[in-house]
Amino acid sequence: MNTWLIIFFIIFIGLLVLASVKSYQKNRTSDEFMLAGSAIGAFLGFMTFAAALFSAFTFMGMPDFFRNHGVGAWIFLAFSDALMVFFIIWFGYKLRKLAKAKGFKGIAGLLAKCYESPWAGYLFFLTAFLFLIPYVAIQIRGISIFLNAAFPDAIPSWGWSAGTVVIMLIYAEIGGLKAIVYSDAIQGILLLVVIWIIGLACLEMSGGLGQMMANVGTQNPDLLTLPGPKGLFSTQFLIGSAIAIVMIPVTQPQLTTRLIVMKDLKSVHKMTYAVGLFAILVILPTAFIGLYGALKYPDVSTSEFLSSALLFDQANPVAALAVVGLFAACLSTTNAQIFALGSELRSLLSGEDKTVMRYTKISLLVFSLVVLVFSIYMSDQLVLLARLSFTGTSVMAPLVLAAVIFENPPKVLILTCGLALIGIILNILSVIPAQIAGLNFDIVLYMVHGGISVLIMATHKK
Amino acid sequence: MKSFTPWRVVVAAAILLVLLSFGVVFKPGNAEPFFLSLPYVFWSSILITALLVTLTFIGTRVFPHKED
Repeated sequence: MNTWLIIFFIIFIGLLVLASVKSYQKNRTSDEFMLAGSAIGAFLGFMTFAAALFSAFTFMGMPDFFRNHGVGAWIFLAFSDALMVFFIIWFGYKLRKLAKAKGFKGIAGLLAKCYESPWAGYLFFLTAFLFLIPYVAIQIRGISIFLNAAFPDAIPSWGWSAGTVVIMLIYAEIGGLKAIVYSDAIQGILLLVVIWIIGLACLEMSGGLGQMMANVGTQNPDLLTLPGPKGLFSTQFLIGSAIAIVMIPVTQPQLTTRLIVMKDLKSVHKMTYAVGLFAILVILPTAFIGLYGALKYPDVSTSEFLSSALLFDQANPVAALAVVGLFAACLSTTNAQIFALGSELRSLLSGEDKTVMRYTKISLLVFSLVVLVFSIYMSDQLVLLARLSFTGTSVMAPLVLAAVIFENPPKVLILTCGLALIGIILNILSVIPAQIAGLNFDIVLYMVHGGISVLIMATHKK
Repeated sequence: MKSFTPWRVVVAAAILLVLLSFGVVFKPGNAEPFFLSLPYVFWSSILITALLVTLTFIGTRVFPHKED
């Protein structure tokens, strides 16, 4: 496998260098560096959006989710993603209109302008920082689990994480967002190809689709129904997940920014259904891999399952491609998120462009280090941590939605969203219980916070 | 108002599809009927996802607003 690995890595790194060099410009402004000149077309827009959305969490987390919780995992992600892209048709239009009217450097800065209060921006940035860090760390953690299992005696797990962060910082520093967009396109294609090759191989090794389902039905029939063997996919969980995922492009800046930097609304709209189709295509083979794992590796750890199904059970070139594909997926998503945090901070800063850019670049380094430390100490529950990130950032949705709907949005939303953020933090710290009156905490939060927000907006005078 | 109608129909169809999905289709504890070897929850949710993506495609075509 090593020869194949070296060949594929050289090709991948070569493409990254090409992307960075092609994107490099001397004396570029911070807008050109952070927002790629806001001229991304439909195809690159689609690839970069898809790559920022589907990452190591899809490649590794979803097969493990299917293996442990069954076919309901499709509803958790694919169905919710389809809803999300439908919502973008309207939201993308409103957001771009607002960004054009007010000027855009980042959502935090945009909110500060709309609400005429820096607190709206600070609150959005704080939430993004708190809940994107675990999401970014998932990617780093995912790749280090995988590489550590694949090469157990090479270097310690944290070494893989650190190496990934260093490569990411170098090429982001050279090429800016444009380089990230190009690398996203490479990653998106690679992810789709690799995951289908592995998915089909897993299907074949299980005796075909019919045989696989029949065997799963005999071995663990609960995997074929809701709520799954561990009861995770209750209606409450699925509704809560759908709301959190639909709100991702509203509240997760790496995706919100991508809606704005695309060159026109037509490109955004083309991107929506392309991403929907991509979601179906990319999640389906993860089900095959997961159910193959349910049959062959029902009781092993996440890392053992992933290294076996994605690496050791595959032909050498496929295993090597899987390593490179996963590395690429991890790199581009991590980059997108770290860059988005940098953009958000930049949008809150004022001063000379050069000074702002210097602070932004320093912040990228600091965010990367925080992520690196977090990734070393976090758990292996990749999908549930991703869901926590989606839920956490989604509490800022009313703040963003009111800004795109109203010319003068109601300032009281800053307070209510701040309280919702405190609520979710207290829930994570177990001060507020996971269930209230038989309802999951996130459903209660959405009902109370969503209800109050709708009431505020309905009674607000334009 | 007339030009808004197709978009509103698409939005109404999407909302109805979601309500039907959670209210009627995604029910616990039933793997039957199988279709193309897939259990009920799997094929029905794939079908609904495909319908939502189709509605997204139609939605982009009939969306009433344009960028300046």
